[in-house]
Amino acid sequence: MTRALALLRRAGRYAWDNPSAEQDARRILSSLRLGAVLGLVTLLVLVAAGLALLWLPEEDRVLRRVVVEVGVGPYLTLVALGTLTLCLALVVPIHASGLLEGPRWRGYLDQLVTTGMSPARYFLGKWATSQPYFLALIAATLPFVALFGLLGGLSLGRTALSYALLWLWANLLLVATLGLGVVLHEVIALALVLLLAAGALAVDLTPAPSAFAGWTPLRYLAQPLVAAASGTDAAELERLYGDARLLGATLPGPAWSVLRWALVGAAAAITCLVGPLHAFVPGLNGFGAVVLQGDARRAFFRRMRPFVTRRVDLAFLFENRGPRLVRLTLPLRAAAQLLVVAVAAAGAVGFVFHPDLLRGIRWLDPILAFDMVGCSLVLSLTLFLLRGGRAEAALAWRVGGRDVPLLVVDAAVLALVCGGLVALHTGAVLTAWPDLGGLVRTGRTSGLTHPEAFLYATTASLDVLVGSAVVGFLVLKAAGARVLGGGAALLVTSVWLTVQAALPAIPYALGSGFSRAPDSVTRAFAGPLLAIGLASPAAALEAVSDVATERGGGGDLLLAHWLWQGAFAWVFGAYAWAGHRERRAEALALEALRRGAQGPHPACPACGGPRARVAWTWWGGAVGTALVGLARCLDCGRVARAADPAAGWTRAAALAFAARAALGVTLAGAALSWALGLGGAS
Amino acid sequence: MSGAVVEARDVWKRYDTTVAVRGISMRIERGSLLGLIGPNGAGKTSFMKMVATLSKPDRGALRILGRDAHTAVAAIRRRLGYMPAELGRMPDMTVREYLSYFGAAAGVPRVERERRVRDVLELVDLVERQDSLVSAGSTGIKQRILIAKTLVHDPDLLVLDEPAAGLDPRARIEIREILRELNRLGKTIVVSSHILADLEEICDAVAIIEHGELVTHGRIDELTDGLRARREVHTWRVRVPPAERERAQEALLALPEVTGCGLDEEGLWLETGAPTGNPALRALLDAGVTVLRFVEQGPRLEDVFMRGTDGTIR
Repeated sequence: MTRALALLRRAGRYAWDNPSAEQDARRILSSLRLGAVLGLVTLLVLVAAGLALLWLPEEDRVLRRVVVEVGVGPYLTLVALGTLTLCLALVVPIHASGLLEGPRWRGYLDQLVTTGMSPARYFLGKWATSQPYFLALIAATLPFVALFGLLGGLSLGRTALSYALLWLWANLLLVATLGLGVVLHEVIALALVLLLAAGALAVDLTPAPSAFAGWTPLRYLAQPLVAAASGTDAAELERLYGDARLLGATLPGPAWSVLRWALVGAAAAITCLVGPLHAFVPGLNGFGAVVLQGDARRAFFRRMRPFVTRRVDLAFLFENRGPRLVRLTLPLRAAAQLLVVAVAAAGAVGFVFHPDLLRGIRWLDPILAFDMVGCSLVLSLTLFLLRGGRAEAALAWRVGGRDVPLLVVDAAVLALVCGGLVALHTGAVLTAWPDLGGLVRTGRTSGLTHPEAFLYATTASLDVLVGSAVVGFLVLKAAGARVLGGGAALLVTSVWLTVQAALPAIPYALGSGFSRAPDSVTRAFAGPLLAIGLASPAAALEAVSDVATERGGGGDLLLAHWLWQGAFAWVFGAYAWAGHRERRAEALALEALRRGAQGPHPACPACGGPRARVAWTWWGGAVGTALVGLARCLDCGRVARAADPAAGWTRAAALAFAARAALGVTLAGAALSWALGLGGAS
Repeated sequence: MSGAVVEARDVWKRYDTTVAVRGISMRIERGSLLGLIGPNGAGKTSFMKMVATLSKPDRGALRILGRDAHTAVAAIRRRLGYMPAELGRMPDMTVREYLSYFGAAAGVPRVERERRVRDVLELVDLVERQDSLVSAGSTGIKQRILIAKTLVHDPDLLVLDEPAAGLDPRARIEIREILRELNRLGKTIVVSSHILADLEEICDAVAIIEHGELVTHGRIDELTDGLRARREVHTWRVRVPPAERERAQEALLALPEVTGCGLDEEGLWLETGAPTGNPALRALLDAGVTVLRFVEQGPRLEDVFMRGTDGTIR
């Protein structure tokens, strides 16, 4: 007991005894500022209640029916609490932002960094001082709630739960703003949180199923009003606004909301703990001074790097997080990514296969479309979270004396996301099976005439999306190992995915047309054109549709698509792996020099600089390059044999290129002979 | 306790094509007050930032307070006091609040923090200004506030970047006194400055950096003695009553080792090949001259600096 108390006291001191708490206690809790915010909230509640009453008189208004049904007291109470929800959505993100940017803009972040202050403590101080602030904001509505209670307000339990939800939601907004502010610029994070909050409030007011909605307390607050407003559709609306139905289970609305808030909050808190991913490689290892090789020739671009400078500055702050957290950065980051994706996936899949929603739809096409859009968004979110630049490619997680590279950790995250998404999706489809069975009987435009066909269409389409996500991930990592920032890698990946989806659609359309031509010569071109076209996931989805509707030929076409994806995965996978190996080798070579040890290879014969292994070249790929055995100087960039820098390597490179070309021609020939038979399959 | 507080071994720092620090190896002993000097762009700020853990060496090993500056950064920072060249634009804070803010950041418990703030305010003589705004102070006051901030968590190593920059003579003298006092209290101090006279007054050791290289490093008296030993001609300044100047000059010029002697507004000067001034002093006394002052115009830090650096920009 005494120990627990001591621990609690220590935790309290940790939270309260720090600079952000000092500053907040002085500034935010000062009577003037707090008074202004409280006055504003009070005024807004008064105005909202006044407007709500002014809106009542007309006989035909739905609102009047609601008030008659639930009573004036509960109605006004809910208006007051709803107004508070909106106020919190605006005030809290603004209150939370500026914790990192303030000291940066004002030029004293370096002084904070050198105090050795842990970022966790800094953020915890903000959280601790925010609690009385939130309580003050919430308490501002208490007189109104008490006043409206005299007119027969809400039940005590509902009022207490509403306040608890409001307090938790304020905390979610706070933690989300802080967490996003770590990985993005705080101005962008603030705008994003305000935008997301606005979106969540809008969704909560629409009749979206609670499995998808319920991101704000508004959904719970609106429940009594919806039941009264719905008239003839009362049961239907009650189902939508009521408990969340997910994978056959029913969860109370507030519990489902709090569970998701907790998961998102945990992900944001982890981000606040571990900070942005960063490796202190030359050029990105000075506070406020990012100068990379070649910058003298491109001064314009150097000036355009405030975001990179910010990331480096924050990396210095997050060095203070302590050795244990430093060791656990990669797994904790992976956990945060999985939490965010899990919440998004549950919402998206749960939304699409919600039984009540299915009952409201007459045929399957929109379900399939929503399903694919939802899954694409989840996979895109995953790729966004896994982005990273050249410096981070050198990072590794040390487990039991072995290094697990970042590429492997991220691949594991992607595997878990893809596997989890397929499992969640399958579970959702199966639990919605009875409703789907009823739907397909009215199936119309897609030609999906039985439940099994829909099951095949939806799961095979998801497989195509997952295949694209895997190739996209490898492109992301291949580019990430070579470009400065994760944003650039993401741009390259987006371009690739767009080109892969759109460009082969032209030969695919031509091939489809040629396959129906009367003459055999034209039909002979159809196979290769279709084979080229099937590099596109869009064409593959078309093939899935052919299989599902038993139009025939889709099986072979899908195989062509998977062969393409396999080839892309092979090429980009090797390129990504080699890129990460090169970055890691460079980091280890510099680390050896730092420890005063010899580098892994003899020094550069031209400048004496350290050298690191080359893992990929255009002429030898990964295998040929490894067989020749080359190393690159980190200073002058000269490439020479790893073991003996004086030895020549032109002949070996030519041989490797010849072998590579021969293999390529053989594989292309085999693919062409197979593709010629595809014309009849379409 | 003795030993190296900062130990740099073949440290390099590069900004694209510019090599800012080129293989510097240096030890800074516990309790020493080291002045880091060099022309503009020599690489001293780059080196200072590495010692302040705000920059990583591209190559080479750097140990600060016995720990690796790459891996044990948080532990180093808790025992390090860094004074940047500029205060930054602090939000509206009084001097006391500012010190308490950074004390809290450094993890000084609230109760102890108040005492520490009071102590450092006394040390830098700012007790009377403790309730005025930080932003309202003059440059000298701000420098003192920065020094107080650096001390509030009682660090072992102080890294001070240009503490006397932009100060008037009185403020410079005051800052000098504070640094002396801190060194007496056992703090290890690394200070960079362009004002050689100040550094000569307070530092016991200097490191001269030029073109990113460590030109020379050692105790000031050893460096000046070394320069002195290499001199072939030694210059002395002699003060005698005005009425006896000509007699003194005659007596000195009569000595065989004296190569030159003259009069100027400060008195007499003489150049001699002998390493000591004893023969000249004896000759003056024998001639009945009243010697008010007899000092060697010895090599100073300025001479060490000028001899060690070439002033070119690469």
